[in-house]
Amino acid sequence: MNNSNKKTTSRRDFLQKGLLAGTAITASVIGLKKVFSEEEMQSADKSIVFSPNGKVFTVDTNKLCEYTAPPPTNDGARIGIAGKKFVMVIDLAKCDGCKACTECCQAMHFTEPDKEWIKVFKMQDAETLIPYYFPKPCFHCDNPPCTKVCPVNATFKRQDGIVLIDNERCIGCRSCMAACPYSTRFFNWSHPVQSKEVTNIPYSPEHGFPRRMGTVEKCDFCPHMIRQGKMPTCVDGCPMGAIWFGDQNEDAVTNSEGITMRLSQLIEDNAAYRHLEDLGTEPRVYYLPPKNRKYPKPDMNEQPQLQKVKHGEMNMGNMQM
Amino acid sequence: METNNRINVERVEHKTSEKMKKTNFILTAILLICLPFLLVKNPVWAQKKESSLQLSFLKKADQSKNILLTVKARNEAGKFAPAPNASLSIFIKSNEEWLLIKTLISDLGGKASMKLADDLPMDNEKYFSIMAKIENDSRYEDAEEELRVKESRLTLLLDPTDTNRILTATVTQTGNDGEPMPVQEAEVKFYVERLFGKMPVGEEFVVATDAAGKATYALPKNIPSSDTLGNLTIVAVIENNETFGTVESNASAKWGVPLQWEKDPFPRALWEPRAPPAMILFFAIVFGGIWLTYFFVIFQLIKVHSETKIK
Amino acid sequence: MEITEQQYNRNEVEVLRETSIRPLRQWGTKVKIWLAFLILVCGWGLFCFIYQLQHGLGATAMRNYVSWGLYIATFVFFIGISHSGTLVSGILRITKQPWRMPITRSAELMTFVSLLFGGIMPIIDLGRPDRLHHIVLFGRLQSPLIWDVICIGTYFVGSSMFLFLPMIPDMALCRDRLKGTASKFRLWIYEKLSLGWTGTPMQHKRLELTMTIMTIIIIPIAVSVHTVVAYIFAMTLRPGWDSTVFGPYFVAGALYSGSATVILAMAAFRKFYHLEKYITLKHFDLTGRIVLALTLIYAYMNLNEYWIPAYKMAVGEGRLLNDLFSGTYAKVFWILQFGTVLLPIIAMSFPAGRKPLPLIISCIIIVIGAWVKRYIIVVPTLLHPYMPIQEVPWDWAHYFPNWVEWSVTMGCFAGIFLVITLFAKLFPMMAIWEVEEGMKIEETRRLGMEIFKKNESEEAKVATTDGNK
Repeated sequence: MNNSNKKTTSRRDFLQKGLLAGTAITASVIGLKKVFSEEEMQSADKSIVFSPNGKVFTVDTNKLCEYTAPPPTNDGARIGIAGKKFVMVIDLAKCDGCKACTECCQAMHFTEPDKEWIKVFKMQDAETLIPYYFPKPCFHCDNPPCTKVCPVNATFKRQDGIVLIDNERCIGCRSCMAACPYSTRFFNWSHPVQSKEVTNIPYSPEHGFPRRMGTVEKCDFCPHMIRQGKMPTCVDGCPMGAIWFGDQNEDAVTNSEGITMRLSQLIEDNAAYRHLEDLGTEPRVYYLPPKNRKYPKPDMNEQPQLQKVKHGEMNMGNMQM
Repeated sequence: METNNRINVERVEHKTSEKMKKTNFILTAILLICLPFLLVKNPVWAQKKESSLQLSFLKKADQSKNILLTVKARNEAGKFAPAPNASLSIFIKSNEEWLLIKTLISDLGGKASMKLADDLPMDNEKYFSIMAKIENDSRYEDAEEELRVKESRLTLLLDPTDTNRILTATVTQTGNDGEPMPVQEAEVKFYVERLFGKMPVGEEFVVATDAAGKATYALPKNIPSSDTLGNLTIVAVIENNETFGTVESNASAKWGVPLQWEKDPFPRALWEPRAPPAMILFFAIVFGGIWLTYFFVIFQLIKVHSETKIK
Repeated sequence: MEITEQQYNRNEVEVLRETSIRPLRQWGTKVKIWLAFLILVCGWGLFCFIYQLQHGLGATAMRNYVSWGLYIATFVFFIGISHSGTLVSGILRITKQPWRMPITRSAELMTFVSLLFGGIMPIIDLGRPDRLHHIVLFGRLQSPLIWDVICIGTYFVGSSMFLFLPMIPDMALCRDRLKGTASKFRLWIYEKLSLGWTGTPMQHKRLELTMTIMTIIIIPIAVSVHTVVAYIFAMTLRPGWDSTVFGPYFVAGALYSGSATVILAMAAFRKFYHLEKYITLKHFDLTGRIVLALTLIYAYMNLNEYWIPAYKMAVGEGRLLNDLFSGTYAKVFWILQFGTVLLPIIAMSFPAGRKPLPLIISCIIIVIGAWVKRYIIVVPTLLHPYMPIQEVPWDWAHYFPNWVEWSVTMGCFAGIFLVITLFAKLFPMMAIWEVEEGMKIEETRRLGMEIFKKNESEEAKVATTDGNK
């Protein structure tokens, strides 16, 4: 009963979000101006604008106009946003494992339910250590093992630190999936299930849809949202404000509660760490240890079970010999 | 034998048709019973979610007056979560009467905003009142929220040549005589604008105004700018003041630490499209050598072929 | 004493030539049934591959954790098998072993065919085989997969040439001998492939030169190929693959399975082509020794690969090793270690174990063992990532190849047999001229020995007479 209810609402949300995302993409604003409403645009006198080829200049805001831009081309998406280095900080002390981030992400990227670009793990490093919830997006490593092994340059690292996948180039060899030590990547094994609204949206590596069979996908730090001055959807959707996102060059991160902190201060005050630092991948995602938690710790006796259902609708393919 | 079989088959068919009729009847009956319920626009069993409204006033730096709305509703887990697509009616009090001025729909984050007109009907104490309501929404329970605020003026001044980098914010309100009059003990917060929000300028960034309505703050020198010119946008805000709501003002100066432009964001590296030269050289030498040998062998074979004619 | 052509038995040469060429004269019913069977299996494999193309790799049992499965394991296995030709031909040629002559052709053929299908396996495994040309358009030299493409491509060209070179004089022989029996088209092929070989001294000289060059160059290429195949795995950060010994480990594994395959091919052609006269018990004994030596090296590499991490039991490696030693894969793992490595070592250590039948059994065990071992290298590692596997569909965390994968893989195996059979029915399976040369050498040696003995006895006589004096 409850379940079916949930399903219908989520589908409705899904469609609405789909339409909204569609319009949002077509009406993107030049460069990286902070535009939240039209009113604001007419007022502020000067604006700092980044041109697509990486130059910075200041212009009269009045002279800026909104234009209907196609989604960034593959070449544009490969270069990335100049002068930015995006980072994420996840406060494990604030995460209560509600998975709102996963749900937001799945709705925005139209992912199938078993693909969790940001996944909340129940972690316990050793029996004598405390268990904690561990949301894990793509770490967008500065020394990315996935990007190293790609034979066709389908996955690439941009100047703003984001690692993306071009699913129009990916040949589906899955080297990157083998190379990623964080199991971050997902493969489109069968024909992806997606609505017509989604397939009609022009493809851009910046949002990863419409997805294509036989290609790899993963968390993308929502660069299409960033271009609109918005934070990635998981950051915005976290009800606990546990996820912070921002530009390392600005030394600032913001969470869903609208609080902006100095990144270096946050790292220093909370003794932040990066997951599996000794692998040398240099992740762009920092974790704040779960000290002084405000929620009950996860019950590790309730070990998350594997789902009984099998993936996808390819029942024939699942038959075992 | 054959006829017998046929009879059996017919019987079976007869049975099935009877069964079908029965199910058809039952289905029709269920449909008829349900029909009135289906026709009702807001069925009783589709529970509305408990909702809550937040209403706040924001005066932006361009002196425009805005109201901001946040709608939340209790979700399946029992928590209040942003409620999208709630229809909101906005009213303004004029001569002790609520007038509907606009209807809004909340966005994905449960937020909505609108700009107010410059001249608002005010009461005797120079306050104006706004009300937001959720009424007859198919998904959310009714809720309402009222707001009563007074207009004030916040100005942020700085001298770009000042080496001490002093920020001065002045808060005034319109006095009874129509002249500006300083506001005392108003808490002004100083921020710098960042990509996704406003970052406090330092540890003690909240300063109360003095008798002249002034609050000052010395900007720290280690705040990074997001461009190579060192531009910083500083924002002074009175936040959620009981009387004045939120009032903003901003100013810019080249007081930030300029962005150090990355010399080569795409160096030749293992994770890059372009391979390191040493690697290319290695492959070229090794495999070039091998293939040259192959061509030599092929050349020899061509010779073998040509030598047949000699004979 | 001078040795001329007349001095070795012309009859011998005639018998050799006829034995080698006889199977090419007519195609028996058995062969036709065998071919039909192979084509059937191949066709079914192709059908399943088309099915897989339509439905995507979701038609296989592979899922997000086990993203590489039977295909990649078989790919590594095929590349391993391809080392047979290099080993036997290259190494034995360089060391100038005269007994290698009758078995080189089948060994080189194995290399050629297994490389052909080894190259096809990863393409079958691609999510988007239609974008294969992207490798040329956008190839990145930093990717181990590109190293594979380069190395395997180079190796394939090299081994084709290596197979082709010693065939040139034989093609001339076929061209001359099969006139009348073979179709015009086949004769045309022989004509073209013989490059107009007439056996002039200059032609012989050039052939010898190119053979020597190819022999020297093919060995390092073969080593590089399997090293690079290992790098696909070793260049990742996964516990179980993240190992510095992986390159040599794979090379050793390749030699181990490749040399066993040579014996199997040798035994098969010996039986079906009645080559008992040329491939003798001596060949089994000698090749058996080689397999024994390589299996010992492989066993030593296994020790390094498992004992070092097992001693330390670091977190990631420990989880994987526990699963291998005492978990889900324990049975298979220990059967592989004891049954397919230790047992053949013991068996082949005794001369009786290097007789044809026991040796063939050992080799079959080794080849199957090598294949299963590839699977054990690929799959369990993928099931033990650093992040825990939580709340995923059941089939993400369990893998066993399904019917599509089995069918396609079996289709590839059938393809290998098909190409070998067709090849063996079109071209002689022994390098006739080389065996002739070998016979010459043997003859020379025999004559030399005779002269030596004669001289020795004469000297002895002289000595005794001297002593008497």
